[in-house]
Amino acid sequence: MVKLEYEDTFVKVAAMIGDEDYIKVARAILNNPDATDEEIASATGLKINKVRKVLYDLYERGLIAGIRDKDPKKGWFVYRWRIQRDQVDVFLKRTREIILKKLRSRLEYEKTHTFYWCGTPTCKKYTFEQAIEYFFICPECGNPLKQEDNSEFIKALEWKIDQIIEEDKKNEEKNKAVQELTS
Amino acid sequence: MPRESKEDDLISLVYKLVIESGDKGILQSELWKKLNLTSRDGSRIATRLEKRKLIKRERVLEDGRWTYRIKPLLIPLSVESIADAPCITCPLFSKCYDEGEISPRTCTKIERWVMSEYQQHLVSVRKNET
Repeated sequence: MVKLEYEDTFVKVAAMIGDEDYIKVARAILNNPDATDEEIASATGLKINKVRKVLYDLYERGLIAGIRDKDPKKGWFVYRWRIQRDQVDVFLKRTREIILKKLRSRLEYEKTHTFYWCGTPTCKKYTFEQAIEYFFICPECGNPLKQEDNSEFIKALEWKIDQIIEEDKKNEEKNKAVQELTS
Repeated sequence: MPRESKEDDLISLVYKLVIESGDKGILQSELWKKLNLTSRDGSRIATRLEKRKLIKRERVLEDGRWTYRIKPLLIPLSVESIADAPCITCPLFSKCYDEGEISPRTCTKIERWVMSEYQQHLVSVRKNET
């Protein structure tokens, strides 16, 4: 991911869900609130269909809102785009919760099972019961399944869960600091 | 290259310095001096940040001259811990649940992501120790 430490949270979220073009569109919306598709395309240098694809995705996720407006010169209707700032924070909070839930479920599963794996990075690990069913041969690549030590992965999962919780706490502190700054 | 993207690195840098200045803020002239910017270029960047509602400019009298003090209005939230999580863009996300065919319990993408970030973390810890 591109280094975006000192970027608006909206740009960071755009980078999480898409490529460089998402970052360009997000920055353009920030710089030109209420810009139309065409104005965003001209500011970013991206093709209009790509801009529309990104805008539609951001809109679907509730991160931006489109306001219908009549173009005074051409007479047709256009949409003007603006950030839903409160929704950006909600999106981030919800995403963090979903990922934490998945990681906790994985941690529990890893701690309570013995695994067998063929060693191919893209292949799944199998529990003892599953490995017996497959006669200790990987059903995906055909290599033999050997017992796998998952202690390092358990450590990694615990570290990741702590890191996400810690980051969330720091973000809450930042929000408090902002409230103090603006009050 | 569009003009927008050329300025973005500089905008981030100005924003970084404003945030680091805390609630006291930083004098505009001091900021331009630090970044070796002309007041014309600096003001353009400050206007951008003001438009994005990330900073505010307060008119102050400093050494008998009117200038602006720039203060942060919004501090960006950190997303680094989940930024590269595969779930966010996973096409199978809606089918992924604990007891499902697609499950976080067996997902190889989650495993690769967590292990790769953990290894990067261990490398940086070792670097800091030496």
